Amino acid sequence: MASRKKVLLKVIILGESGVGKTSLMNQYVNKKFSNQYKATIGADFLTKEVMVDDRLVTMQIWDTAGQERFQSLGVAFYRGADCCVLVYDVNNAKSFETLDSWRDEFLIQASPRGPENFPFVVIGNKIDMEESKRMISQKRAMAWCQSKGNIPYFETSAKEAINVEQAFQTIAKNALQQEVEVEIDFPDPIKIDSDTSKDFGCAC
Amino acid sequence: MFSKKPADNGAGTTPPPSSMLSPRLSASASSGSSPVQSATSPRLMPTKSKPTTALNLDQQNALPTSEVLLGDDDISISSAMHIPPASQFGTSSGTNSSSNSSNLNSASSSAHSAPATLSPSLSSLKKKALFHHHQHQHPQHSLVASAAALLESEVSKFGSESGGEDADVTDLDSEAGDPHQFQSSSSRGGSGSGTPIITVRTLPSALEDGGGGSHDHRLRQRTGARRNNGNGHLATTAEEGEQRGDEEADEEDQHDDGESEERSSIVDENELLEASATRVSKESSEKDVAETLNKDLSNLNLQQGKLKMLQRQSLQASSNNDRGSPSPMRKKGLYANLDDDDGDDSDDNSNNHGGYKKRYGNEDHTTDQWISHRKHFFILSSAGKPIYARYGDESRISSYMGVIQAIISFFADNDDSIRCINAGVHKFVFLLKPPLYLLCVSRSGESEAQLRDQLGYLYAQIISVLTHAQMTKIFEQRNNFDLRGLISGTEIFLDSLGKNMNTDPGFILSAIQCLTVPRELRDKIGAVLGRAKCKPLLYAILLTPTQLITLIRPRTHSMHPSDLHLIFNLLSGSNTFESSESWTPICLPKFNNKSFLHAYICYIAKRVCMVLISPDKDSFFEMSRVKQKVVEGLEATPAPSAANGSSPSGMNMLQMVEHYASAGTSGGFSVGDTGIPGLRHFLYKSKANVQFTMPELHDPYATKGARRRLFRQYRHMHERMHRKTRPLKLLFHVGGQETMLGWITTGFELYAAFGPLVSKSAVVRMCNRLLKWIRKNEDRLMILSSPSFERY
Repeated sequence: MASRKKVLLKVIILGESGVGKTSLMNQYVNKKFSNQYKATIGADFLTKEVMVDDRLVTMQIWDTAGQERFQSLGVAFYRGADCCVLVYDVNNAKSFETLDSWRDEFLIQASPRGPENFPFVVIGNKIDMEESKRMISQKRAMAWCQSKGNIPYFETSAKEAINVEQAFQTIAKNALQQEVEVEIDFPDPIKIDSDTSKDFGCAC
Repeated sequence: MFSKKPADNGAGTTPPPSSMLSPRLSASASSGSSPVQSATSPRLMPTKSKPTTALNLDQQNALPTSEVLLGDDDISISSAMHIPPASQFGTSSGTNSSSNSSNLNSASSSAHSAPATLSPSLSSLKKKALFHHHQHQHPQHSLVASAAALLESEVSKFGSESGGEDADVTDLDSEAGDPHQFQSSSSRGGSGSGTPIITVRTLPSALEDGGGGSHDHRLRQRTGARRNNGNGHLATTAEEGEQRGDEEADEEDQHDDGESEERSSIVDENELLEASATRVSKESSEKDVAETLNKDLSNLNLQQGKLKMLQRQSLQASSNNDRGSPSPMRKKGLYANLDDDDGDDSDDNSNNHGGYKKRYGNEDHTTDQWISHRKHFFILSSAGKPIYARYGDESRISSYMGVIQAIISFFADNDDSIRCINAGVHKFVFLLKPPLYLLCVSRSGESEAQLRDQLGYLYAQIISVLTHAQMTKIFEQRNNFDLRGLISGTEIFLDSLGKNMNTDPGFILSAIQCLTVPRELRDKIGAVLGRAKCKPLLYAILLTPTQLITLIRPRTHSMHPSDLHLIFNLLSGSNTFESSESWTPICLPKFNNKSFLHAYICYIAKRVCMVLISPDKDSFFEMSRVKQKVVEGLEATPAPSAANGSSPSGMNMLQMVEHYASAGTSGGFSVGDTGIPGLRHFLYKSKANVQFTMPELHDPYATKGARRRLFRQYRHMHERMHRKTRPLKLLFHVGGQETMLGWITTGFELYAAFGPLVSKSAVVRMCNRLLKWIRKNEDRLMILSSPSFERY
């Protein structure tokens, strides 16, 4: 099994601007958090190696821009993703409501094979804020996830490092399950006949 | 992309400039009237055409697209170049002769701070150029006349052993603070957006302070003159952009020279012709390019990906160059670890034993070593997943792959594709072959085209492992596929390609080298191979790890040189084949990229390898029998006695071929054999045979450093002569360490290196003698008739 050795997973993080995508990634990879908001321009990239069921997996995390004006990377950008993480802010109702469109957008642009089985993970971030500010209940979020084909749901705080590790572990695991062996068949042998010789090589 | 290049670029596909000086040095090709080579097979096909060109001094007929014209007094520039001892430099400032008022002025003025010997010769050269210019050109040509020319010279201080690398560099051509500058307009050199724009500067009279510093180790002098397109307009932006890139490349080349190399003056006729010598603002060009880069990338937040770091580094380097201030990078020794690139042959095979261990595998983007490599190659899938990186663990630098994919997809979204980014001294060259993307990040001074060719070879290597059909199919099924699993085990061949491309001229020449053996011996070996044919045998090849001995092919097929390069690379990249008979599937992309052939590989003597290629995957034993037959055949036949008696007699053919194969690793003959004193080394490519030959690298090229410098010169000559915008047929290049002549005709390409003090007429004489010698020995040096099985 060739793929036993090395696996690299392309993980794309999507969501409204300001929900904490970059913070989540930074918390996960660098164990750092900054209160300061800095808009992501285009995309950020981080790499992290993790162990999933005794396999060494490299996660190539593509953190995207939430602000529309910075989303200029085009269709090809999402191509070949192994997992898509949808992030919203539990204290911001709008960020939750737009999850639908983020998901659709991704499925259109990445056009993965078998979109119904594509691994998504939903993360409700910023649960460290006081309860009174919370706009989206866990119940509501889980109901949405259920309706979209049982998407795993996590509530996290990038600031306090709550649940971040677990969320990404699930991301890696689910992405890995998608890895199926590609059939590799030996191509047909070349037939060398004098008649067909024009097909081979170039006659110049 | 590979073999066509010579035909495309070679023989004057661009019309010559209308005005020609009456050339005293002219190439009169027998086929001179049709400079464009017709569709000669770029393969190992038999051909009759022979170079019949000769350099004729004092002949009056004009070159078809002649490029070089140098009077004898021009040569003085060269002697001035390398004569000045170090001591002259410290005191050379300030003699700012204020003679001229013409545009020409700026050219010579940049030389004023050079040693006094240099200055007059240069200005005389310029005057002469201008003189001819007025005489022979249409008046409107000379009016605005700002041809893209680059007369560049650099004299480095002698006698500072390590000075080359760590020296503080004062760049005399920097115009920082030049009050006289004006800019007619400004633009960045992009892909032809219409308006021809140029940045022009007049005489930088503020150069006095330039040469003053006693820490001045190098003197660079540059004359930029832009090409006149005939309407009094300036060069197009595209051309300008390229020109700028080249300047950077040149500069890069200089800066990275570990040895204290003198920069040579490159003089070609075109440039001199139209040299009304306006000064190109290098500073602004580099900054422009950098800004362009910044702008293009500003949509991508690269703070995590360390692309910025590279960029910053190069910006810093370039701004340092501009201001002539000491480079902290240099001082810190960040650039010290450079040797990896230009062919470090020492521990070549050390990692071929017991599994693949990447030589620089423990590096990643956080380490200084990783950043300091001269030339990086990255191969990724179109999803942005890493496949191969020349240095470092590809998964640890996978963030970069993301950045690369993002940049590409940014342009792809507008139905555009990115080809190259020039950022200071760095070039980012892309080759998009979906589902693969290849990128080279280099500050090796090679041109964009040369680097893209190299990416093409890497691509071909991957195809040879997978076939194009299989690879496309896999990515159609799953575009997130991690291709590393499928190519694992073959990374050594990508590594060795990366290395060989720096040291083997066959790659830039798109040609292969043959082992020098007497024709009779070669023919007899061919006959033995040919007689051993069997049905599934497609090609029978006898070769050393770097040179072809003979190749027997079916009548209907030939072998493309780039496919042969893959086979050579297979042998030189791994020593596993030395110990046993091997059977391996291989796809030869130029032959057929859809499917595999199968190669039987076996060494039959030291450095003599037999490769039998069959389309039938079950024919191993048949191939093995063929080999047995050939070996017996070779052993049974006594070798023809060599005419000159240089080889021992009484050997059988196998012993004899082994004898020749072990005689030398490059040419198998010494430059002394040519009997031309003063000739140091040469590359000769026969276009029709797609083969090249060169002598062994003896003294003064016995050391690695000198060899590296020589090949850099060759690369530079090749690049300059094959430049798309203005290809040259002749280039006379005077450097501190050697004088070079490049000469391209319809039949051949010749690059010859002479000692530094040789005059031009002597060079021409010697080249003619060399060609005569080559012609006489051609049947030893090359395979002139590529035999087919049908003959036997």
